[in-house]
Amino acid sequence: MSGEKDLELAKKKAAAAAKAKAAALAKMKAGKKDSQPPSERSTDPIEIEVELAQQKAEALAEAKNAPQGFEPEAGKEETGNDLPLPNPAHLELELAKQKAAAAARAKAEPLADNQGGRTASEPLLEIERFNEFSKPLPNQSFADMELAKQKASAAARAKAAAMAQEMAAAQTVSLSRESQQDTNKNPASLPTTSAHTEFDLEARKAIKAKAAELAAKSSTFYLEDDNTKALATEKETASAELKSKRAAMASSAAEHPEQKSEPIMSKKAAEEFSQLSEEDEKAKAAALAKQGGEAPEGDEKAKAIAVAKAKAAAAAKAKAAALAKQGGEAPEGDEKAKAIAAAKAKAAAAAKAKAAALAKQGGEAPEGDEKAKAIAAAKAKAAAAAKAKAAALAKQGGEAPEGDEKAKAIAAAKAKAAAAAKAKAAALVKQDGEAPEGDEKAKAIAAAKAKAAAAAKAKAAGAGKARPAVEPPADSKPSPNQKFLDKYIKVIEENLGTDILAAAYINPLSKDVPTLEVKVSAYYRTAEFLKYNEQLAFDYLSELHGTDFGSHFEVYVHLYSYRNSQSAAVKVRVDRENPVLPSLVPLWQGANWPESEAYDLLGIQFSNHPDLKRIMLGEGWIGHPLRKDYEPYDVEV
Amino acid sequence: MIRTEEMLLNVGPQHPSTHGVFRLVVKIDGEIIKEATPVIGYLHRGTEKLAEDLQYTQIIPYTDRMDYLSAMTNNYVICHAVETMMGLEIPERAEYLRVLAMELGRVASHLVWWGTYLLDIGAVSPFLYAFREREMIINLLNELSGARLTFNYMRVGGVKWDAPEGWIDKVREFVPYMRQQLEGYHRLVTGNEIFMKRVKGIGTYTKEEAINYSLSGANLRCTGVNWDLRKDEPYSIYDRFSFDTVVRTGGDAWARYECRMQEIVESLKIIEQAAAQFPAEGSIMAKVPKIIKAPKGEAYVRIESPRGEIGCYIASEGKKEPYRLKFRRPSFYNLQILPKLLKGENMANLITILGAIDIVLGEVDG
Repeated sequence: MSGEKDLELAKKKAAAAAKAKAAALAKMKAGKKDSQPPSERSTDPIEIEVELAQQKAEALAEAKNAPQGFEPEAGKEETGNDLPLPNPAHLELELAKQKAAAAARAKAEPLADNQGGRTASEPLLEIERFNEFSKPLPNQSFADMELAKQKASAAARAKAAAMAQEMAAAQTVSLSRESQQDTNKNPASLPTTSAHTEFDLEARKAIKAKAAELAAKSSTFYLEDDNTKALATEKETASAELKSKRAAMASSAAEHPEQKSEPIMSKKAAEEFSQLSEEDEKAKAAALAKQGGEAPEGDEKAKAIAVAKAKAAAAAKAKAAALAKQGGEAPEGDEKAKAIAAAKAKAAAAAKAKAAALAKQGGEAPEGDEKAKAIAAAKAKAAAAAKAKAAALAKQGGEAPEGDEKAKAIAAAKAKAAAAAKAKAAALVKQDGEAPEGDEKAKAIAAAKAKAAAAAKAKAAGAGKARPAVEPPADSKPSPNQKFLDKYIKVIEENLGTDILAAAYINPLSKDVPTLEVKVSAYYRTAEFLKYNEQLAFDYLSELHGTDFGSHFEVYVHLYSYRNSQSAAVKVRVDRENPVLPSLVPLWQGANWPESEAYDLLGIQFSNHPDLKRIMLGEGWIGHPLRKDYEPYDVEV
Repeated sequence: MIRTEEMLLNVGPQHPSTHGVFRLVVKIDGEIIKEATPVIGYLHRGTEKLAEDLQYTQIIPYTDRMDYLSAMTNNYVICHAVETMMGLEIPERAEYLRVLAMELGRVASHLVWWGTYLLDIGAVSPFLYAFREREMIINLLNELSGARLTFNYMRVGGVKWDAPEGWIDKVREFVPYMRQQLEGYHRLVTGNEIFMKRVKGIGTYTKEEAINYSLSGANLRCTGVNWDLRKDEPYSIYDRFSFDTVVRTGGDAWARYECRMQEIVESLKIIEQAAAQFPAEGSIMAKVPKIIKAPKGEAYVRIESPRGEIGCYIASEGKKEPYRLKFRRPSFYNLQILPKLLKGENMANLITILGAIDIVLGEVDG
């Protein structure tokens, strides 16, 4: 009888133990689930610990009281150990086992996935900080997790737990070592283990040191030649200028962006577009006049003044001479200002206020003056090196008379409030050499805005000036990139001869990028030279694409030199009937797909290209969509 | 004697790990890739052709669909190109909103990359975390622009909408939260033995190769090239913030991983500073004509997108539509190096290498 009872008891005990285990596990799992929301997660491991401790305490108490009674609901959570065992020692063993298992699990889990279930005795890792992520995630190694689990379920659980603990410690150490090595290799390496902050600090120090070093060397990343340093200072200056400009802009109360909305345009671009609009002759004349970079009058303008062109040129010379002598702006500005102001007194008033404000900013006025001169000088030099001195001369002044004429035309159209405008302009002239220029500019633009008919002309005339007036540092000197352009031209002409460049200029619309127009016959040679020449060293091809300009294709290549921190745009005209161009892939692998794209969409053939294909549209496509005369081919039509 | 045979394996165009419609024809000898030929163009929508008939403002929504994971930078690049041509000065408040939007977008974009990259190489959970945080950013940008991904937020001269009340505070709160989560990400993944084994020394290239292949962004900086357009050719108001260019020297997938993760930290720095400096009042739009016309001529600008250098070329006749519009799409350029990287690699590394380049197919195909 007693044997039977014993057997039953033993069975119950076993079942209860199993249930208790299951319950504990379920609890832990539940704890994990609960731990998902960030706010609750942090308490999770502590909860588990507390629970374990409670279990133990309860069990011990129960064990002591064991003979006192039998609990029918023995299977419940936390009461799983309430078995009326006659043998407390037996129970203790069971408890020890359970505890060991829990400990093993708890140990295995932080190792495996940052799970924070640890016993109180374990030294705290830094895990608490990251308990938001105390989820069963594939951290560390799955294999280790597996191993740890197996061990945990083995018979000698306590031992396994100890082992797991050791392993966890060892792993953490080894990992941290590994990451430290990484950190040493790459100063700012990401923190990989709990020893985070230290690495972070180290890394930061390293970064700072590096940054200081780099700052000294400018932002170029390799090769410390003298060039680099000089460039670095230049770069800094440029950025300082930019900043000061912004500050100035912020402080000047009024902001009328439209005033500078008509920047200078490049003569070449102007030429092309003029051709596009089938006004070749006139446009060319206009473009020539524009070469000075000062007054990019549009085609319309060119048309309008075509008759007076010769006269204008003569006047231009006279004016240019006057300009060269001193701040010739004043007389010119005066006339223009008068005339245009007459056109729109109201608009002019606002503009004047602005111009005055700008003039007050100081430094800008003389700069503008200087700039005008300097640009003229630089332009003349460049042009001379390239080819046409005479053209440059004509260009220098060309804008003035043109603007004059235009202004007059507008004046004729609208002669109103001239006196007031004059007086104001005169006053401004006294104030500052440049003031009237800004004034006149502003007026010109204002007038343009007001009058739709005059708009195109006035804008074109004003454009050249509007920019310098409102953005002093950007244009008040010859472009900061002018010296680079001069250098490129010089180096190219010294080494490749003078028959290479069709044109070379600063493109003020495109952040003053030095632009080289290369003859198609010299395209590859020049590109090769640009890449391998020590002084140029354009090692990076940023962009390559083609454009259909109607009469010809143009391929635009944007290069960058990491060594010199300098950009250059290279353009080449390709015959539209026979669009063949040598491929740049042998020089820059990065040109591969862009050239394929240009072939696909424009039909430009790149000889020597390793794999010229229809990269976007597929081989069956008929026609080249980005051609302006493209007609979609439809089988059904 | 064992007879071996080369095999052609087609990957994609519909394949989850390509994150879009990208096809690779791989010639393999056993497990070793002999040759890989990318086939692209499945998502080509002719944006550049379409743009020739659209006004500048109308083009902006098209840019949202190029790099749809960071549409703000795309928005910005075309606006910036037109503004550069017109010489516009952008109001402070608009500039700050733009920078905030772009940097939040950068964080979101890197989060998507982080999550999906780990998903690609076998870890599912990081994806969920990444998207949880990314969702917060998306919500912020949604509040700002009214759209979750295709923002159409920026305009030539400024931005379309001002920040709603309390938005800046939400951004401020987000920064420390994100930093904390980021540390958790590192606990979760960075340093994991399996992960490290899969990315360390995989897909390695040198600095010279990176430059020669016109790589940009993290793909370039991971080889030691200290180059970030935000710092080296500052646009917008990036010269007002103090942040570091993240550079690594490994040139492998692990270095790219490190770069991107650290770039999130740097972006958070910028967001924090921008939110602190955010002007209390001011216009969000410069005075621009009703119909925007870029002046005659051409311009090419480039800025730093999460994927690298995104550029925009505009040739204008002075009309309201561009004569020619071209985007320099970083994913397109970055992907060129893939065949080189895959050659001789184990097939199992294909996804690791492709994922580490971080492409968006909408951008690859234009």
